[in-house]
Amino acid sequence: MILGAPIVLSDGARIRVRQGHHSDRDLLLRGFERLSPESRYRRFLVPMPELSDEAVRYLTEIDHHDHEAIVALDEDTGEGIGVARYVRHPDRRDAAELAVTVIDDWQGRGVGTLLVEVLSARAREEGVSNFTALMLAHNDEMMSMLRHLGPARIVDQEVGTVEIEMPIPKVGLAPALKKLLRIAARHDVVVPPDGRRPASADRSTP
Amino acid sequence: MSKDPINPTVVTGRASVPTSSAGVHSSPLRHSGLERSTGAQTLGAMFLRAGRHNRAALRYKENGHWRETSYREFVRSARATARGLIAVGLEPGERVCILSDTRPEWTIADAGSLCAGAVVAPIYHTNSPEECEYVLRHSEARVVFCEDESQLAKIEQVRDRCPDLQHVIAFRDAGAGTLSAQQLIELGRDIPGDQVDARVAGVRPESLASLVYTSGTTGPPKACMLTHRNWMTQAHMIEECLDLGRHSVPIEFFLFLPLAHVFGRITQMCTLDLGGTLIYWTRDPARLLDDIREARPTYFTSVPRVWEKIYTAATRGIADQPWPKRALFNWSLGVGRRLRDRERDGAAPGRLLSAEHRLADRLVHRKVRDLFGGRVELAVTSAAPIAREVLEFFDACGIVVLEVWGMTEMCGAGTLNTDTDMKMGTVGKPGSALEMRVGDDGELLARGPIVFAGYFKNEEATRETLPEGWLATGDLGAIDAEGFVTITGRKKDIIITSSGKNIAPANIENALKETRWISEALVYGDKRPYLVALLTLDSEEAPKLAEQLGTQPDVRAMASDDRVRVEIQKTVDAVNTRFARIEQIKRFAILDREMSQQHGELTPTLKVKRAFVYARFKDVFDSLYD
Repeated sequence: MILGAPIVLSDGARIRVRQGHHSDRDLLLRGFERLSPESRYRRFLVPMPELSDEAVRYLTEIDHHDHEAIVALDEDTGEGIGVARYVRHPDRRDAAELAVTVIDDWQGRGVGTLLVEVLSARAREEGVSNFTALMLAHNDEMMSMLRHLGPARIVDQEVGTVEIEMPIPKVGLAPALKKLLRIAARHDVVVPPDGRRPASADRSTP
Repeated sequence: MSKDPINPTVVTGRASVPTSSAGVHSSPLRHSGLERSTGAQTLGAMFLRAGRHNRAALRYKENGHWRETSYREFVRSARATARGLIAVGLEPGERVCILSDTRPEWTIADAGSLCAGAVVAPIYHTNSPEECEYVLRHSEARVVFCEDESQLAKIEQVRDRCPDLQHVIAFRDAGAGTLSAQQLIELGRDIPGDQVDARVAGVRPESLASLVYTSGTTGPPKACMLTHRNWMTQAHMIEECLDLGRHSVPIEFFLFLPLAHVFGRITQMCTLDLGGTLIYWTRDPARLLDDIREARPTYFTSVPRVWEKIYTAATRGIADQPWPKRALFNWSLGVGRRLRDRERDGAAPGRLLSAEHRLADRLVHRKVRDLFGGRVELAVTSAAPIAREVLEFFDACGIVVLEVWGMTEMCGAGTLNTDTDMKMGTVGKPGSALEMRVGDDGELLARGPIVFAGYFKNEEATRETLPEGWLATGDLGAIDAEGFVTITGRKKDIIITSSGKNIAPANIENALKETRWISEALVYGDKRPYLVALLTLDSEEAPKLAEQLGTQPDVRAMASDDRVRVEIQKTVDAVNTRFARIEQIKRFAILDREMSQQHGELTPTLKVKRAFVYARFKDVFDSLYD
């Protein structure tokens, strides 16, 4: 399984990916400290000078069913560098909201895409067939990350934000994921940065 | 064919811009408005050539009397200022800031700096010292012109943190460590006049002319690099599309918009290029309408806030009038609208409608026009969305208010309605120097010689805003079959007040949330005259606040407790001092609980649903406006 195995990014950096736990509180707080104001704004859609105790509690209440988180760790330091999570919508059992955060220094290096792919596989296992995501309308990184997964549909567009919904591909990412898993078995996964994909792939879906 | 927009013959050449290629629209608007233009390709050259115009360049009120500065005097002052700047060591391309309200000295400082080959970086006169410092440091300004003592005091507070700043120049009386504008001119006496000509000749159309600061979503403002080509192409485009050079009407432009805003400044440039007269307000917002009435301008650009004010003033009390007066008012507006509709359809009004219109005009329309002094030939609104009923009201009364859309990144206007080619409810067609199309996600994209050169010292933001050579405008919109553009939404999460100021709420929200008692702050103010905020009390800190004030330690009760309000007001006041007046929170409401998923304000992953909050608490927000 890719989870827990060391992965080598295409720029040579080594990371490790695992499920999030209740005990990740300090990891989360240290990671939050390293997020720029812009990244925090993109994550919460409001400025977030600090995380309240209540928010930290909520974000670490991971039951691996209605709420799953996949975290990426810097292999050298053991520090968290990113997290992708879904939380199931209370009124829609088949859909969950997706949120992805990667520490600024690690953005654009393929970490987010990797986390979303692993999280997607977990979501399918837990009976989640659709992701929704509310994000800043000019969050192009997130948008291209999702388009990488499959066709997304804009369900709502308000001042400054856009909400999208997309089916989590049943087999769509299997080839990519299988490849990852295969290489992961050799402890040698190489993840290309997001930018490597041909631009046309990003334009194929609205 | 040459793309040079300066030569009037090339204007027709712009038909070569593809109009039929998929989804790309460029305007068919063409007029002969360029006949009076200096035809210059750089701003400095434009100012120097404007000296040939034989009339008043600037009109302003001083000590209760209207005074004028002729073009000859204006250009002499600009040259003298430029010589002074050369004398104190300002090099071509170095930055000069202007910190002042809209007044004739602003225009002279602008012209003088540009004639010295400098790059002008305006600062809003309402900016806080902290914000002034940011612009001075970021632009590495050598010189700053200051309006008066209050502006000098701001600079004094931050001067030692601005290592590049060498000269502080006061329009009037200088204090210690500053020069007056007059002293600057005296220092320049020994500089030969041809050095100014050489400086102006050394500036290329592609040279940087101005840094104009605009709000980013988070963090400090971004500096738009506007070249001389941007400015001159934009000026000529407006002159041409709006046919500003039409012969019958003297161009007397009323100017009260801040010159730090690109909309006010391009108005200044067009007027001077065409040899018109700039009429300055007396800088007292309460007297704005009096100023306009006295000045009797023929041309007037404004923002929705002011149009709405005049609309309110004109229609105030109509509902309370006795029936006959009310009926007369409504009848006359109806007549005005019918006449306009006929005219636009190209049909003759007919004798009955003409007679009715003469009567309605005498009884009602003329009185509304007299609010503007009675001579307004052309009026423009821009910088923020305007209500259609307001436009229709003025239209019925014989004042066509043309809606124009644009942004700093295109040096002013992008699309324009004109009096011969307009559609209410749209922002008009793309100007002749701009191509537009709608992107995959509905965003309006634009390109052309008016599009800016990028953000100064911010390559990342430049890349994001100019992907693949098209300017991502941040506005969502549609282009109809005739080429009219409608703005349907905004991609950027910024607030545009009815005064047209773009404000990123994140900065002040962040400052509020950093304080001890406030856990969430959502700022509101789109299309409104000022900003307000919905605040929540931090439930972890609330018991301590309750103890300090002697109130119940219950957030619900505290939210409506006067003692809590007073305390939170103090917090808001303290935060406000760090922001420009227009960015300050004028009023606020305290929610009696924290935002929650259960109430729908937060998503399952704790994102704040801003639009939902605005809709859900609409009544609360509405109650914060008079």
